[in-house]
Order: sequence, then C-alpha cells, then structure tokens
Amino acid sequence: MSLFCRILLMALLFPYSGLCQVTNYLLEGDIIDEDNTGIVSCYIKIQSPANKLIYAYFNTGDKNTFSTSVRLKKGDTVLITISHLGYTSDSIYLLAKENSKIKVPVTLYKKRTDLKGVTIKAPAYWSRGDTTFYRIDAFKEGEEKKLKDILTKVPGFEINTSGQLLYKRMPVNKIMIDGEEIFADKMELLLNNFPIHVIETIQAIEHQNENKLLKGLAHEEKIFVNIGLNKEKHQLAFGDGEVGIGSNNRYFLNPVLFSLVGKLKVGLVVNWNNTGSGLNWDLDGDLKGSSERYAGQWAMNNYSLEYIPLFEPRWYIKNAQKDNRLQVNFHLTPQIGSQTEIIYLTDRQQQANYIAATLFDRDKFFSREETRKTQYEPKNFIIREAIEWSPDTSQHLKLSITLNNHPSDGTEISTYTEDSSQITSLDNSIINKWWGQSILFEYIKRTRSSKAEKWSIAMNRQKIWQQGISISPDWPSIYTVPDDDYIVLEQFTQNIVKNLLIDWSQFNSTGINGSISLEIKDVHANNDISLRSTSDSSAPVFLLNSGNVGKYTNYALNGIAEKKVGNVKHPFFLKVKGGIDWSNIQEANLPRKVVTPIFDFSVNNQHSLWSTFTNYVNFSFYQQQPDILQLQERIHPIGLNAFRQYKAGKIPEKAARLNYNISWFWGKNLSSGNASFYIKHNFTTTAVTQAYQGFLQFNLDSFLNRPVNEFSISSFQLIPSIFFKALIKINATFNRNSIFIIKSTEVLKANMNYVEANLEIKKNLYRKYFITLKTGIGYNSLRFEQDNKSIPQQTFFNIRSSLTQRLKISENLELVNTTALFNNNVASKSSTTILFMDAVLQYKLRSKPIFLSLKADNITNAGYYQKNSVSIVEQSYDRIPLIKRNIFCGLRYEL
Amino acid sequence: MKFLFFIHLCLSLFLSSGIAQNIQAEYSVTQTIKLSTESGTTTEQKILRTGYLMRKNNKYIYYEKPDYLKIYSDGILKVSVSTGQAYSIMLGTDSLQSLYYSDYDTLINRYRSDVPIPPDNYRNLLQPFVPGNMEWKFFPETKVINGLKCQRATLTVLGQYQWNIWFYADIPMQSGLWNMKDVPGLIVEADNIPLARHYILEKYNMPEALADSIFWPSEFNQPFKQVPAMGKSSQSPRQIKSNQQAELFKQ
Repeated sequence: MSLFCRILLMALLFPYSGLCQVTNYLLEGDIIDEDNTGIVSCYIKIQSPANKLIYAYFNTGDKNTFSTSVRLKKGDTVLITISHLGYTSDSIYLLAKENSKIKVPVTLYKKRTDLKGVTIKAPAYWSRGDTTFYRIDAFKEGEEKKLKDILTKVPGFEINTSGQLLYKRMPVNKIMIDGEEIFADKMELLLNNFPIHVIETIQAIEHQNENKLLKGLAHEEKIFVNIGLNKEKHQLAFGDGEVGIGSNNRYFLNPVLFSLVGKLKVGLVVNWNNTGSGLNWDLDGDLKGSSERYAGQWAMNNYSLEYIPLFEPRWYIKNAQKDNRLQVNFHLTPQIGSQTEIIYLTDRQQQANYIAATLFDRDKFFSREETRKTQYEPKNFIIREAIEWSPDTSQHLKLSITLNNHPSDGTEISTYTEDSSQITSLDNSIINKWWGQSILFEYIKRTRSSKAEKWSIAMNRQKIWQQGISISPDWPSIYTVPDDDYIVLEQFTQNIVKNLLIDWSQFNSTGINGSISLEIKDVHANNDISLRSTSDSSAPVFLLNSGNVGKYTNYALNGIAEKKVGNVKHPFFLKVKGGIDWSNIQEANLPRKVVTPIFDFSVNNQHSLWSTFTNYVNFSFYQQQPDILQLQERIHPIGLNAFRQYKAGKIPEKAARLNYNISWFWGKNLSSGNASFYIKHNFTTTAVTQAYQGFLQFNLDSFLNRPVNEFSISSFQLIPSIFFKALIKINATFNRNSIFIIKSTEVLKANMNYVEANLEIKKNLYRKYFITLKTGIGYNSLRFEQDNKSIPQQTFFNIRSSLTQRLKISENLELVNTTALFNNNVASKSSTTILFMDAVLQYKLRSKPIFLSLKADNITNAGYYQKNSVSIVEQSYDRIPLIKRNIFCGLRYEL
Repeated sequence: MKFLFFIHLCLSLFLSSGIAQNIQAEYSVTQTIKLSTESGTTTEQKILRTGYLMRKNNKYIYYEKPDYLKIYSDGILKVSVSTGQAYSIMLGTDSLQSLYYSDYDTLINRYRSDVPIPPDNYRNLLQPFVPGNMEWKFFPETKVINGLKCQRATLTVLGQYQWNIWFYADIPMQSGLWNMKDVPGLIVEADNIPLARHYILEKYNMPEALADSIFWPSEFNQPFKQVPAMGKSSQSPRQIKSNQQAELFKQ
C-alpha cells in the first residue's frame, strides 16, 4: 500500500475512532423483594443481547447489592438477568450513555410454587439507595421489650448520655412506623414504649429532607428511622400492656396501642407509675418545642430532680407520673391529611439530698453544706393540630396550631452550714403558670424538577407567670432591714415572649439555593422583689422601687445562599449567610440599641468511601449578636435566690469551628465504629463573676475580647470477635475547654478536661448463660493557669463496673442479675463505693404472649449515690438517696 | 458430530420454553501424560475416560468411567522409557471416578475421593458451599463447536490456573464438570490445566424425567464425613467467619 493510501485510510478512519471508544461502565444494583427485604445469593448475568456474549456472571453471595465493571461502547445495550431459586427471574435492558455509572434497582417476586427444602433467609442487613435495612431477628437476644432495647444492639445506632438517638454518630431526626408519622418527633417516647415483637426491620434512611417535595434540592441531610412492621403479626391493632406492683407502694401501668389500618392511624401511650419510668432530665426536650424552651430560659428555675446519668431511674426516683399521649392521623383523601396530638402529663417528684460544695465568692472559695428536700409538680397539657394538603404532586401546604400549658409547683426546704459554723434555713416555693400558642404556615411548590420554592410563617407567644416565696430568718440581715419580722422574700415575675419568623426559600438543584428571612423576637420581662413582714400591719419593702422591668426587641434580617460545588457524587455545599441583627432594649430609664452585622460562612461535605466509610466534614466561621437574653444589663432572677446580669453585650460573638466525623461499617463482619473530632475557636468569650450574700447568689457575665478554644475527640468501636467469641464495644472521649473567671479585678483562666473510656464485653456459654461485663472510667479536672492554691479539689475520678448475667433456665424461664460497683471520687477523702445489685425472674407462658416478672431491686440495700460535679465556680458532691431494697412483680401482654 | 447438531436442533424448542430442567451429557475425556525418556525426548500416553454430567432441576452429578481399564485392566500404566527404566502410574480401578454431586436447594456438595483420606480413611465427603464462590473470567472470544456457538471462560483458583472452558450459554447451567460451579452454560469443550485433561462434549439430551437413583450412586451408601465449607476461588472462606460474627450479636 502506498504512503498516500495509508494516509487516506487513516484520515477516513480517524473521525470514527472516538465513536468506537470502549469505556469501563460501573453497574451497581440492589435487589429486594416485594416486601422491601433484601435478597442475597442472586445470580447476575450481564450479556450482550446482540451477540449473546456474557460479560459477567456471578453470585451476590451474602449481599443484596452488586457492583461490577463492564467494558462497553457508548450506545451499547446490555441485558442483565437476575435470578434466584426462590424468586422469579428478572431481565433488564440498559443503554450505555454518557454517565459511566449505571444504577440498577431490582425487585424480584417470590415464586408462588413451593420449593421443598429451600430456605430463603434474609441477611442481617441490606441496603437500597439511602436506606439501610436491619433485620431485627439477627440482633435479638431474647430479653428485649421496647425499641430502645433493640436499637442499641444494631450496628451504627447508639443512645448518648442525653438520651438522644444517634446513627453513625449523627442525630436521628424522626422515627416513623411503616412510613406513618405517629409520635415521629417524640423519639424518647417511642424508644421507651414501642414494642419490638411486631418489628421486622429497622431502616436507617440517610440524606433526607423534612419535605419529600424538596428531595434532591434542599441539603438538609437529615436521618430518619423507619420501623418496618411484620405484616403477619399485626392486623387491626398492636401494642403491649404492662402492669406491676411492688413493696413501698410502688406501681406501674403502661398500656401501648397502635392501629395503622385504613384512613385512621392511631397511637396511644399511657404511662402511670411512681418508679421513675420514662423520666429523664431531657424529657422537657421531648415535650416542648424550641420556642417554648427558649421562653423557659427567661423564667426562674423551678425545683426539678437531680438526675444520675447512666443510672436506672427506678433505683432512685420517687414520683407519681401520669403520662398520657394520643395521636390520631386521619387521611381524609390521599391529598388531605390531619394530625392531632394530645399530651397530658402530670408528675409529683420528691428528692432529699445532701450537698457539699466549694463555691467561688468574689475572690475566694468557701465551703457550704446543704440538706435539701424538694418537691416538684409539673403539669403539661399540649394540643397540636396539623393539616397537610397536597393539591397535586408539585405543591404542599401545612398549617399547624399548638396550644400549650406548662404549669408547675415547686418547693424546697434547705438548711445550710457554711464553713462549719453558721446554720441557716430556707423554705422556698415557686408557682409557675405558663400558657403558649404557636402557629406555623408552610407552603412548598416544586416549580419544575430542578426548582422549588418555600414560604413559611411561624408565630409563637409564651406567657410565663411566676410567684416565688422564700422564707428565712436571715433575710433581714441579708437585706439590712432593721425589723426582724421581714422574713418573707417574694418574687413575682411575668414574662411574655413573642416570636415571629417569616422565611422565603428557593431551591435549585443546578444553581444556588437561597433564602431570605426576618425574625422578630419581642420579650417583656417584669420582676418585682419585695420583703414582707409576718406582721400584717407592716408594709412590704420593695427591693427595686421602680420595678425590674425590661423590654427587648430583636430584628434579625438574614439572607442565605448555598451552592453545591465539586464532585457530582460527593459535592461540597458552600453556605453564606449575611444580615443584620438589631436589638432595642429598654431597661428602667436606659434605652439602648445594639446593631450587629452578622455573617456565617460554612462548608459541608458528606461522602462515602468504598461503601464502608461515611465521612462528614463541616467548617464554619461566623459572627452573631448575643441573644437578647444575654443583652440584659438589669439584674434578673434565674432562681428564687439567684440573680444574673450581663455586661458588655455589644461585643459580637465570633467563632470558627471544624467538625469531622468518620463512621465505618465493615458489612462482612458487622463490625462498626466511629471517630469524631471537633475544635472551636471563640474569638470572644464571657468571664464570670460570682458573689454570695448569705445564700443569695449573684452572677455577672462579662463579654471579653479574649480568644478561647474548645476541643473534643472521641471514638467508638463495635467488634464481633471470633478470637474471644465475644461482642466487644469500646469507646473513649476527651474534651477540653477553657473558661474565664474574674477574681476581684483579675481575670483568671481555667482549663477543664474530661476523659471517659468504656469497655463492654458480651459472651455466652452454649446460648444458655449470657454475661455482659461493662467497665468505664471518667476523669474531670480543672486547672487554673494563674492560681490554683485556693481551690480544695480540682479533679474527680470515677470508676464504674457492672456484670449482667442472664441464665436461660428453660425456653420460657430466665433469670437476670445485675451487679454494679461504683467507685466515685476515687483517691480522695470523699471517695465512695456503692455495690448495687438487682435480679429479675422472667417467665413467658407457652400458649400466650404473656410475660410474668418478679424483680428485686437494691438487694445490697445501698443508701445513696454520690454524684460529683466540677465547674469553675463550684465543685460539689451530691448524695442522692436510693430506693431501699424492694420487690416488684409485673405482668406484660403482647398484642 | 452431525448427530449432536441434530439433537440440538430438535431440542431447541424445549430450551426456549424454559420448562426443561433435566439434562444428560456425555464427554470424552483424554488425559495426556508426558514422560521424559533417558535421551531427553518426551513420550506421550493418552488415557481415555468417559464423563457423564446429569442435571435434574437443581441437582447435578458428574462422574467419569475409566475406559483405560480395557487396556490397563489392573489400573496401572506401565511405560518403559529406556533399558532398565520404566514408569508405573496408578490410574485406579474404581468403576466410577471423579464423582461429584451438588444440590443447589440445600447448598450441599457430596463427593468421593479417588483414594481414602487419612487419618480415618473416609472417601465420601460432605461439604456446604456458597453460590458465587467460583469467579470465572469471561472473554469475548467465541467459536462454533459442532454447531453450538460457544464463549470462552477461565477459572483461576487461589492463584493457580485451573480451567479453560468453552460453554454454550443457551443451555443455562449452574454446575459443570467435576466440582465446577457458577458456569452460565453447558460446557462443550474444556481443559483442566493441572491434570492435562481435555473434555469434549460428545452428546447430550434433555429427558423429561430422570430417576432420582442416578443422583445417589451406590458409592454414596458409604458414610460421609463433613468438611469445612468450600471457600471462594480467590479468597479464604470468609463467609464462615462472617456468619460466626453475626451470631455474636445475638447475646
């Protein structure tokens, strides 16, 4: 061939060479059945329909997913055949397009003919898209009753010390039941009450938005949990009921009922007990919305219980709770639905404590012992009605109205001994009346597949009225009133907290998400404090003659722009917030304005590596105005005998923070873990001045232009170890932060360190005898950089160990024993050791789902638990009495 | 070979209907044994066997019958390569050899070793298996063998090249020769590399019924010894470990 011919041939072929380019296409798929259960051990055949050449043929083994690379030309068609012995085969034709990654969701249907000897077993977990399914039977040990008992055994889930449910160390935002939102945001309630005998799967759904219309547009990155029910175990209704009675007049009644049939979905949870069941310090968080919790910060603290972390409430709480929750969801049509929620919760809590504390007073520390008896009677009555309407698939409208009433009565009788000499007594009581209303209106319209808009208006009004009476013979000397009859201190506060938020947001998957919002907070705070005489003829002495009144209004106008940049699979989200905070303050005769330009620049990225690691990175740099709560320069009460004042609130809060979280899940062996790192640099901080006058406490928080750092690192690992034939959990945490205190005129800096490490080992012998060994240490330390001689104790070191043994005597009878040893404040004069033991005998009837239990608590008759705490202005240990040795019998029925 | 092509045409209707789940196939097996002589040259000996592959629904059985016994009745191949030097190779006298049974309903293998396995000298072994453990490599090469358009695939086990096969994908199969699994079609030609055996499909048919007794030869009446599950061709048996780890959560 001549040179000319060769060149001509090349020139003719060259333009077509690009069209014939062979590329590696990644085919990824997940296989489920009609019940959304993952199917493992499927044969996948990938071949060319044209020449029938097989590109790949393999079995998925113990996974319900597959991922394989096939060399194809653009425009090629491939035929994927998925087959399994127990299911009808499925064939899918796919066209190789621009994107070299092809997702293949597959649903197979069960063969209706019986296959003799074939057992189709679902795997322990499987995934589809953003959802990871966990088959509950794979994690059951046998003694679980409620959702919390099983969720803590599923890899990836944990409940932290505040009672918050986490998945891969990120907070879970709601729990649904078969997709239905019943008590969805009441996670504490569902965790403690939802029965597990009806659960087939737990589904962790990641990368979610609150509203489905914003799917793929908003980047809320929420995590939802869906409880997949076993269809065979629930028909019209399901639930369980437990009733129990014990010595010391203790009782328990807990019926739980759900019905998810037809248009009406109902959930009813009743919990009447005096055993502390369902109580924890964060219960308020479950009952009150963010606006209510904010309004509560303006009120005086009432006398709630002292809680012990990681300690069963029934071991130390005396109360009389009546918790009644009802939610009814009514789907009038597929487009219109309503949610009605009624909560009525009352309680009467009692506690008697002995507290020994070292307290900071202006320039020195002094010691004080207190014997305290408290009674707290909160009531909560909440009605919430929400109506949702989707006129078509592109629009959604929601209207929600909430009425709340949170009255409470608290009393506290104390005697004080200061520096082992002076003894005083105090008899306090506070009556709270609290009403609130809130309205939320939200409208979302998906204008096209890549765009949506959202309008929302939220209004909230809370009115808190408080009357506090404090009786002490010391008041005349503290307030230098000459007449000794003036022993009654009365505080009357009335706060009205109003909030209005108007927001408009636009979402654009290909461009920038933006929003503009205006928030108005308006607070009227009124406080009168007076000393009254026991003699009717004496006039009261008003300690603040003109009244202690403040009017605070804050206008926050913000604009937010968010853009997705970078890698299509693992994009970064850049978010810029800018605006202005304008506060008008009227206190006595001093009207003030505080105007702060605000900004927040943040970068978020969440990505997965090899389907094993999930990484989350967040960096944020922001400036904001202190909340109007912290702009109060008037002395305002935070308790009946405690006052606070803020100073220099014009200094804006400025900080930079970095949060990195990596979670891993080795699917093959079900081991999982997590490591997280957090650092925050505050450009400004507050310094505390604390002063005492008798038992009156004053705090002055001054804003400073001094930088301070917060740092935290933690790790968690769950290992199913074949070597030890045990399930091993290890976690460790280290926190460090710095605080400033003003001692006379000197600003002192203190560093607080906290270290915690825990180890848990679970083993069994022949599946008859199960043991769980837990041991952990906690170490607190406080170190002043300049002066630490005057503080008597700066470290607390606690060791906690427990052994739980479960003996399966027969298929229906088992004995569980827990022995715990608490060594608190080790290696100090005030160290305490408590040996605590309880035992439960459980019997299940053979023919019916009825369970009988006989429980013996505090067998060693331990007297009290000593709780230690350390802060820059107070180091204390608190002896909390435990419930004496007691027995309790219970009966539970599963519906 | 024309007969084979004719059979194929006759059975094509059954194939497309997807009803037929039974198959009987017969292979000629030729083992080539190369022996070095004193002068440095190589002499080759051909050992002949006939292989039988049967499938009934999800049950498969494969065995070989030793045709060489007609020549070497004592089962010993003796080859004189020089004066005073002879090779003596034990070929075995069992009437059924290389006996392998696979059940995809219960995921159980039964097979018989050609020699007793110490210390307890069991010959019958029972072994669980996991589908998908044999990872075949598929090639775009095709060739028509006796009218059947076949595709090439190879199998490497623990880094050692074991099989080179040509299979016919229009007859779906899961098992093949010996303990072979995860093959997407009927094997028409194959080479076992380490044993130097060459397999050619001589004939096959798809009977409506096959007797169950075919899948339980008399050799299986002897006791079985259970052995650990079959591992992946490319990896160690992680599946067993994974199951044990999953069990640890239930305590």
